[in-house]
Amino acid sequence: MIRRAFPWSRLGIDPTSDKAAIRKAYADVLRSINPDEDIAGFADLRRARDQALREAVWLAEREAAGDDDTGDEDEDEGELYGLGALDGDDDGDPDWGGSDWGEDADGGGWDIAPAFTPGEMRAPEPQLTEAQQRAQAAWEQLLQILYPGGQPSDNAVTHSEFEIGLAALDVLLARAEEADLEEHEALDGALADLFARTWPRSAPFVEPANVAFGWLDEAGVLEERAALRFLNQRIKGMRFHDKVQQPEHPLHKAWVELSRPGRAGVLDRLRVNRLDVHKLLVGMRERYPELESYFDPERVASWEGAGAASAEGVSNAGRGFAGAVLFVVLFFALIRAIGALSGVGGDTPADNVPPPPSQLLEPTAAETDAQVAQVFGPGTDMVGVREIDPVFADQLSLNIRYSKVNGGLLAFVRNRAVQAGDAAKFEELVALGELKRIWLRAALDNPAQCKNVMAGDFRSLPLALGKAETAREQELLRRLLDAKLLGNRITKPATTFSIPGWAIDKMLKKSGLDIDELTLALKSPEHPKRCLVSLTLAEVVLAEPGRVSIDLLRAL
Amino acid sequence: MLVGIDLGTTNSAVALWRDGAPQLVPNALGRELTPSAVSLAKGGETWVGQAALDRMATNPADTVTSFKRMMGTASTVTLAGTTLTPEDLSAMVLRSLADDVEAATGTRPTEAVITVPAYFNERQRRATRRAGEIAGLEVRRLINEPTAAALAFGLADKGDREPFLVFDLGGGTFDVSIVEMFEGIVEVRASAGDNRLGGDDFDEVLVRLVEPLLPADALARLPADRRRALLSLAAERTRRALTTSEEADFTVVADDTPLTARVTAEGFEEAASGLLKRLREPVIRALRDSHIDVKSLSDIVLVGGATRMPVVRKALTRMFGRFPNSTVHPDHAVALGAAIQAGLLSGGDGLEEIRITDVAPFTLGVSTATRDAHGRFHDDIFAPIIERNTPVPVSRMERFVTLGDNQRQVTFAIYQGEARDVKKNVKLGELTVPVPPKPAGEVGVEVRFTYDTSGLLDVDVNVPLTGLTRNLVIVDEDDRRSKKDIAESRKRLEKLKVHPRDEAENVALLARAERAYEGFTGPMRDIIGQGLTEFQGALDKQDPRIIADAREGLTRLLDEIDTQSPL
Repeated sequence: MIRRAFPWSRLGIDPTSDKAAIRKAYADVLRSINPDEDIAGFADLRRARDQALREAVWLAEREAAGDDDTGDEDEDEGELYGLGALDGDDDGDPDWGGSDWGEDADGGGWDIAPAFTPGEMRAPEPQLTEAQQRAQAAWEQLLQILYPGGQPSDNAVTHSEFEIGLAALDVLLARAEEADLEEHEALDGALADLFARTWPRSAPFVEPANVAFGWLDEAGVLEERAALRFLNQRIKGMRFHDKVQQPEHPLHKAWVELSRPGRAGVLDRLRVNRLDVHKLLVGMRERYPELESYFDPERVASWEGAGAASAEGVSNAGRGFAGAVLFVVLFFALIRAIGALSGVGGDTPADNVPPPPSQLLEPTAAETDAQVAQVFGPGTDMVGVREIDPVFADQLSLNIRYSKVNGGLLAFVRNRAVQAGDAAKFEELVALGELKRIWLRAALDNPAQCKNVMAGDFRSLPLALGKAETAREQELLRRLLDAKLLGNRITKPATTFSIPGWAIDKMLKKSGLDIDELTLALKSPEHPKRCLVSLTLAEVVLAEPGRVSIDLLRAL
Repeated sequence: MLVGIDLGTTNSAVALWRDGAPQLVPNALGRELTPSAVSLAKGGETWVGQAALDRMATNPADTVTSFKRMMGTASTVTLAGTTLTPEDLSAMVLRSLADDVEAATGTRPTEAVITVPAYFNERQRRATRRAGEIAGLEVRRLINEPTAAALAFGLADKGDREPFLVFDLGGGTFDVSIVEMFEGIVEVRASAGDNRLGGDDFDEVLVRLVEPLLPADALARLPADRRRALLSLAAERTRRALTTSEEADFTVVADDTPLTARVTAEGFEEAASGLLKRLREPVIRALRDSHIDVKSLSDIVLVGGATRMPVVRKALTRMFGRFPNSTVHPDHAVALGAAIQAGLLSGGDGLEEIRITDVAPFTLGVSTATRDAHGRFHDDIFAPIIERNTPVPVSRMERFVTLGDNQRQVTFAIYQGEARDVKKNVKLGELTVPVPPKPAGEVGVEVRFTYDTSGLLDVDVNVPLTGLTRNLVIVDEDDRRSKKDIAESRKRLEKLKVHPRDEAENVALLARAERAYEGFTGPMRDIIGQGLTEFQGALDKQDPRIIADAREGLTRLLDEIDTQSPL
């Protein structure tokens, strides 16, 4: 007898396509062992059985191929609740960072076959029940609303679009209620996916679907679907929006104030607590940035103090804002989505997208290039950036529009650099480390500033760099740009790192701290010596970057 | 002797493996189901089962039901001045079941297989084990209720079965398991559930639906606990009535006045739609985890009293696009399955070929912290080690490294659950190992979780650098105290005076008559009152023959009344 290979060896049978034989062999072996005393053996046996069953399918196909070619199985001919012709490539549009929508695609709605197995080889059209036909029609209608003219849209839905869309959604949700599990799940997945893709245009439709499918119950669960991870945060935002409308909500006054049109007058400033306004803006931008579209940008700007400079000549800018503001919102959403898709939990550093400006001037090409050169040094212009990294170029040009009112383009690029670490390779990590060293050194004397730098926030306080440092910074940023690291915000889950002993010794010497204090400062972000220790760590590591682990470089 | 016990939220049952088949053991009243109810009176007089349930209407403050829902929590119940834990209460039911077995076979059972909802967490399981020990039963194994039901279902003909779904909606818990049978192997592929959803919740919905329809002032005159007890008893009755008809009267008697409201099946269905929705999610989860699609399920097997409700069956038919299988006795299957498991453990006849494999229903892991690329610490992150629905027994190892420089020790907090944030999961225990002081990340620690078929989690922690190992068979505070605790509980329960078994019938009848007396007004009440007095007089004479006659007479009277009235 020939020697058998795994899994057949474990089961004690020859390779076979006969599933019953495999099960019988498994049962016989299982009866001969005591799983509790031989846990590894049991695991091995299960694995052997599962693998054998898979191989059996393959063997059966091979056997069948010999005498009868059944041809390829047609899949999803009449896909129910699919994107249809709208979306040619199923991988999603590039805006989503090319992220695949998830390993859980099998649970998602896209590829669920219609609720009917095609009976014959040439089943003409899948037979839909009347209710399913209605639902399918409603689905297509909703698709039309969210992808007007077959294209993604940045505009909010109009009132009539909303009415039609909501009616269509109602039909779909009613169908989900009636449908069997499979169709219910298909609808659940398809709607979640559609809404995430078309956010924020989909915003007014999300809550009813959440109620019907219990999306929010999935929030925070280990295997929360990617689309829901994104949507649930948005739903929470809308819930907050509803709650803050209640007069007893502590931030209600601040909310009402910010949503009024025009600049805040003296009386307004007396009536509303400045701290509350600040709290609302900061908290909201961190958690639910999309809600900012409810505010009048002019009013926000006037509270943020930017309005004073541009007091006059903005009154007619009102209408023009709507599009721009919405665009900002979309931009937010995309960034958040990328984070959500790539599995980053928790909060990202202070958002680097500017608040809506108090005035919006289309900068000239020359102005744009001047700004770009300021960041990346002479010799780099917008065209150059676009050649290297078109995705980043789009983000950059958007930011240039706002740069006058929000602490400058440099803050944005610096923030991007901080986040580039996850995808960076050794050389770029060293460059990045050096950048951080420059920033930390410049911020060393100012604890608040230092904290900002470590959190990736360069907007709150200006960073004073000398001439040489500025030149070096430009050079290093340019290097990161060349490596195409600035456009992506795909961040991997955080890794842990270790600091080798020799580095600790050097740090002790350099910083003048004792070991306990050093340890404490490394562990706690709030430690007063944190800035010093981070800087020392950067200096020590950068002296001999080849000697430390890539994780440590990344974590600088 | 080893027995199988279904310790349910509403009813419990005990069964034996005898002569190659599982057999239910009837209680002192000759019934196979014993209500999971306990009632006490001052002086320690105790009622368990039907009599206790009947006292719910007359002595609501001293009577408790559905205590299974409190298992694994620190809450206690005070009845007639005696404070009891949910374990104590369960132990009293278990003891009464053991009495029944002793009466039927002449042997006192010493060991038991007890069923628990598949979705019971470790705390709830441990509490169940403790209850068994307090009752003087060695718990040889806890078996999941849907698994037990599947055994009873599958062993009816011992044939192979493609994967089928067991839908177990009991009085307080809801489980879904996907099970396959071949060559004598019973294989659970996945389980999911909701341990806070059951028939009781449907009763509550009914109460909420009806309460506004009843005259508020009459209701308000009732003391709160009595009102609640009467309403929930009436709700259960109405729910049962709705299984056979399209509408039913919901009646409570307050201050001798009957208050009635009519409930239609349709109205009930609408009011219960929120609960019906919650039935869907565990089904989806179990299917996803087992990679089986709805169409390939060979059967939907219904277990648990609440699956009798037409609203539930209707929802199921819609969900699965076909009619569920109701050939299994929804109240007996679990106890019968427990008896089969008992037979397996004791090498019973006809079970030589049978093996069961089950899964771990929850994800098990430890709490970790990491530092992200921006230097910020994130702690309380759940790091799974054994994923849910992994076949047990299973043993898995993960490596972790120190996060702080010169860290002296590493503490692993062990959790069970599905949330990314450990605070939302159930903490099972904690284990600390000393590590050599070294820079962060240079000390590795290996953590091995071993989860065996009886549901015990064993945690091994090993520091390869020093060769140091620590082992923890998961115990928590409750368990650490347990030995002493169990002895104390036992002593406390022994002080309570349970009625002698030969009086059980009389005691239960008295309680029933008293409940009926409370539940009626007018001439009907007088008739019952007279019957009660006569029966009490007969009891005083202490002549077994006279008592038996009187008992028969009163029983007949009450039976007749029951058929006449909605009560």
